[in-house]
Amino acid sequence: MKTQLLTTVIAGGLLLGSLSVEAKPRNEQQRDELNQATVALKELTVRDAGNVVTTELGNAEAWLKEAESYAKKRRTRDEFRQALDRVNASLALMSARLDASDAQAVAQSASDELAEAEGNLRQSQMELQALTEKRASLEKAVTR
Amino acid sequence: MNLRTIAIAAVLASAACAHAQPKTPDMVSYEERRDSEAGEQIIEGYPDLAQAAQQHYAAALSAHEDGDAELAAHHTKMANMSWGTATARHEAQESALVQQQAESKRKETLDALASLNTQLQVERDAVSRLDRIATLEAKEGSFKARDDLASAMLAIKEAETVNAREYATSLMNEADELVDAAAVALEAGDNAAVSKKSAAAKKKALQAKSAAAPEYTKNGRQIELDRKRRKLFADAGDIRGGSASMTEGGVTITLHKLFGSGDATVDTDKHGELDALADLASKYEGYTLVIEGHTDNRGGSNRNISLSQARADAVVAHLSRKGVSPARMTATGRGAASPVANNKTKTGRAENRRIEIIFVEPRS
Repeated sequence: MKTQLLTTVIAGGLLLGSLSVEAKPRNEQQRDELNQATVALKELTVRDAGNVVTTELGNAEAWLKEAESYAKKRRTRDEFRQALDRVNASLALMSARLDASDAQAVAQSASDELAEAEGNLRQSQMELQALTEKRASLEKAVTR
Repeated sequence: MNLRTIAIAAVLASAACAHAQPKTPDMVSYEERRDSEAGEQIIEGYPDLAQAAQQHYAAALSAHEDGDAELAAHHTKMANMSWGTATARHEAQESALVQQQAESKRKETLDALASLNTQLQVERDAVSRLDRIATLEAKEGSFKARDDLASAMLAIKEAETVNAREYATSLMNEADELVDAAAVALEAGDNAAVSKKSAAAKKKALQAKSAAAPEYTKNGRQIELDRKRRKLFADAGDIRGGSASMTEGGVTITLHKLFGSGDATVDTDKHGELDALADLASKYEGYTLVIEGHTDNRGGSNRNISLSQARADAVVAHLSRKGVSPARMTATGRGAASPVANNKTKTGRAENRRIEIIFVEPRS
């Protein structure tokens, strides 16, 4: 009876031990990949002050959690890899969208400055025309 | 696997799917974006991302057919995200182009504005001076003085027609000051002083006109040369198979594939291009022509130089037969010394194998 109990305890301990080993990320590489994705996600969250990629941030966060959870358990299909692929694709998408948004803002600002310069030019042209006409009429008056 | 193969695989898988489960909204959305007009630009501009998207979509269709909804959803998401990334990069590039154009146009506008402001100041000064004179009541004995002042102002205006404000600024400033002094004297009723100052102002204005005239004529010629160069550039664009670029002193026309490999005889089917070039040379007679032969970097340096020289000579001979005076032309073989593209790639080497015909405008 004692032997059976001990065997049960050892077996239980081994099981718990194996579970505690499995509870950690499968290997260093997975941990590194998760860390990198987490850092990149935080950076993009900070960068997205204009709420350009709010939905994508939510998706990436959810997939990152999925990847973390898959990293802790072994499954038939490599769900960890797929979830992390989705996270990384989402990070690339957000980065490109934020770049596009920045470029659009810069282009808009350049277009605004151009419009202002063109407005000033038009105003000066009108002023010059008025002055030229006034000068011509004054010259006529003075030389009469 | 290239994009075409992947696209065919995706279409085949798509056809197979037609008999199975209906496509998910994400799948439909992907297909719409891919098949849109902008889709072509994405495939052309970002082939790697487009290929990744197509590969994922082919895998999604296959999983969908197998009834693996979870895997199909994963690949569809991946396809949509890859496509979205390419689209965003394309948009960023378009915006950068808009920015570049706006900045360049703004610079031109500001330059025009600066020049306009200078003209405005001149006009304001002239109007203010005229205003003062015009408001003075004609007094007894002041008519001659007023005529003298008007005559001086007319001389200033004539000097302005040869841009003396720019080319003889100090003389014009002196003339302005003398006219101002004459106007003050007129106000004070000092008619003798008005006539004296006006005469001096007129003299300065005439001197300014004489000093500015040669510069004005020279620049006028330059303006004409610039106009002609732009026209030549536009006409050069009509030469089939050629590309033209405008340089400070002329226009360069680049032709590719005039010769067979290692050969210095112009291909018969390229005669039309050289004939068009001869017509252009005849139309723009004032220009001298420098014909430069260029090769890629394969083969020995000496051989490349002699081959490029022989090719440049062949072009000169052809143009000469078509009526272009040999005295106007110089042929140079530059070998591989002046590449315009990367010799490590096939496309780059093809770019480098070329004949450049430089239309050099007459010196001023």
